[in-house]
This record gives sequence, C-alpha cells and structure tokens, in this order.
Amino acid sequence: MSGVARSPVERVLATCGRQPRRRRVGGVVLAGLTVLVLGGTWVPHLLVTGPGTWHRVETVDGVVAAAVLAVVASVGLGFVYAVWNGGPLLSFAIPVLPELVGRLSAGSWAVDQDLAVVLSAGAGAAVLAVYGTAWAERDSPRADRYGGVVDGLTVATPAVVLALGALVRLRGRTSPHVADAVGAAWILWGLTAVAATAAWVGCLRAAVGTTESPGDCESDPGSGT
Amino acid sequence: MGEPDPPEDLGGSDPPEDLGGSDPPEDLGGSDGGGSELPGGRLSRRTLLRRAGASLGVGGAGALALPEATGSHDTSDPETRGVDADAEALAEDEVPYGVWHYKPVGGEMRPTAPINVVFPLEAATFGQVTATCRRAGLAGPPLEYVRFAWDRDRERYRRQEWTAAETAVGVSGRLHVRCWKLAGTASMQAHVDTAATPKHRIHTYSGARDAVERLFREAGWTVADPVHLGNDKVPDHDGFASVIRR
Repeated sequence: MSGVARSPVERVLATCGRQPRRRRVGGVVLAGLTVLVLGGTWVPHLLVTGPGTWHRVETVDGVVAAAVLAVVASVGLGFVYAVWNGGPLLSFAIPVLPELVGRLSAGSWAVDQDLAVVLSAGAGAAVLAVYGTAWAERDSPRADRYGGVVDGLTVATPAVVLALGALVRLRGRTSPHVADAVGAAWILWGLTAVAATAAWVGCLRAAVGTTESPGDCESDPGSGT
Repeated sequence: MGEPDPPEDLGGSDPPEDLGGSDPPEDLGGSDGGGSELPGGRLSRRTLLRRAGASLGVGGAGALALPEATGSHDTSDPETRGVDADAEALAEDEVPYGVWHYKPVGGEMRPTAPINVVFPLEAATFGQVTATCRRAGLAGPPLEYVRFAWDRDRERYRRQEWTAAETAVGVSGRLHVRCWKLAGTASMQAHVDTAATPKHRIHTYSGARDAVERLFREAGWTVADPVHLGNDKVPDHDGFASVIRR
C-alpha cells in the first residue's frame, strides 16, 4: 500500500506532529511556556504596586525566574518534540513563540541576539522533525508516503531562511558577551541548512529515479547526497 | 505510542508492481504548486522544485521583512577598576542620587546592586535620558525582578521607574539598566547579565557603565568626573558612579 491520501486539514495537522495526542501535549506545553513568559512580564506590574505589596516581591521574583527558565527550556524542548512526534511547525513554534511574546510584551521588535538564537533553534528543530517523520513513517502503511516529508520541508525551509536572515542582520553587531551564543547559533544553522538541503536533494533524486520505490524519499530524506 | 504494526496482507511498504519503476510521464509533471502526485503517492520533480522554490521564496520574503538589528553594546574590556571590600558606602541621604538598589527580604530592604551612573539633570529631563537609551536599542520593560531605591525627598523606597535591556529575556546575556528619578536627578543601575543558564548572574558592572557612558557620549552628552559613592561591589564595581550631563 503506497499511501493514503490526506485532506488539506490533515496535512496541515501533520506538520504539527504525527500523533494527535502528542500534538495536544505539544500545544499545551507551548501554551504553558507562553503564558509563563506573559506572567513573568506583567505579574510584577500587577502585583507590586505599592509599599503594602512589597512582601510579594520574592514570590514575583520566582515568577520572573520561571519565565526566564521557560524561554531557555523552550530552546531545547523544540528538539525534544521534534524527535518525539515530528511536526516541524510545532517544533519551530515551541522555541520561537515564547521569546517572541516576551519581546513584544517588552515593546521590542528589532532583531537581537535572542531572536537569532531562538530562530536558529526553531529551524533546527523543524528540520529534525522532518527527519523524525521520515524515520517514523518508514514502514507504516498509513503514512503519506511522499507528502509528509515534502510538506514538512515546505514548512521547515522558510524557517531555515528566516534564521539566516536574523543571523546576517546581526553580523558585526555582537559584543563579546553574546558572541558565544551567536556563534553557536551560526554552527547550528549550518548543520540545519546541510540537513535541509540533503532532504530536498534526496526527495528530488527519488522523484526522478527509475528504480527506487516510491517510499525512498520518506525512508531516508538524505539518501540522495 | 507508535503506530500499530500493519496486518500482513496490507503489504507493508512495497508499491504495486505497475507503479514501481518507471519514469514519471511528462504530462503528470505537476501543474500545480502543491499536490501533483504521480501514482504511488510520488510527487513529480517539477512539483518538488516548485515546492522548494516557494519555500525559499517565503523564507526569503520573511527574512527581508525582518526589522533592523539592534545588536549588542560593546561591554568588553571594561576599564580596570578595583573593588575595595572594606569600602563604606555613603548614606542614602548624603547625596541626591541613589546609592544602591534594594530588594525586600523578610520585611527589610537589602542592598543588592550599586547605582553606577547618575545624571544631574540640570539641563536635561528624565525623559531625555530614557529616550537616549531607547534610541540606542534598549527596550523595556524586559523580563526582570522588581527593585527599589531610596527617595530622600519623600523618605520612602520607590520601585524602578524606567527599565530597559538589549533583549527582553536575555537568553544569551544582555545589557540591562534600571532608572529612578530622585531629587531632581536620575540614578541608573547598569549591569550586564550573563546568559540565562537558567538564572541570570552579573557578568560585569564596569563594562555596563562604560557602555552607557559611550552611548550617551555618542548622543552628544558629556561625561564628567565620576562621583564617589563607596558602593563597591563584586565582581568589578569600584564604588564610583559615572556622571553624565547634557
């Protein structure tokens, strides 16, 4: 059996993850991280308003620390989700959305080192999710034999280009106190770009091959290199 | 967790014999951008190229639409300043500026970081101070703790009045400032946070002070001789505050 045709809605949902239950878990985690960041930004303004509320400062500090931790953790959680359930869209959103919400709450829209770092992490997680999907669907009769990987790449590729745009914008504008993080983001981006290119080449070679089975693209998106 | 194993008769991943090994016919080469599939669920090369091109195009458009970068302020190689562990800080009421910023702990205010940049504001306003910081790419309020300074005119502590940082969260470290308007002056606590791993720590006070001096000097302000507040603090604050005038 060479694949079951999926509706457009199912294809979009598939870019958020393979299994519905895990998609829900991923969505809840993303929402939780985002709410934590919003809380960390606004709780201090809402709860510490005058001398009578100063006893709340230690509690409020805890909320702020949790919000910072949420953003830092989200950078790694995107990769965890990518391996666990595929889904490049959600894998990209998990590191990017909390930081994006935090910066918009802070009235900042400009590209800065944190945005470049989370976009690179998001792009890396999205491409990893494509490979995870290919691996997981390798022998499944219910897998969308071609579209799953290509749909994933269609989502992950703009993320990779966007991350490059942010990193390029920062060139020559990073102080040594952030150089390590931005350097690591460049390395991650390089690995991600190679992996994404390999996946596209693998799909293209499978598409024009004369002897491969139709499943070759999913079974190893990088096989064409 | 995983998909159930397929029943034997579903045939696993092998394609039907007649769909397997032939070149895609040219007329199935994908006339649309998304779903032109060949038998067996395969997408034609043309469709794949279109999808790849469209993805690159969307990403490229997004990258071009990104706003300008603020970058980070140079906080490297701060002027070497020694910390006198035995220094005695001035009393808060002795100067119109703040001396420390404070955190309430167990019902009392505990000094946690030194005021290290002050603005006499003889010919400037508090708003001009904050506007200069904003133009230099410091935005706020970022994710931060609530801290207080002593207002000698009102004889009470006041929470930070205006705050800003290079980044909202500081995942990779950031220059971070808190400002108070006190007794007709502005007092600033400037520091560079370490990367959040997961908590921020102080990377440098001195580098932050130099960076703030530099950004105001570039905006046409004057940096005068520093004032001694005696609020030495590790890792590198020497007890002086930069004095910046317009």
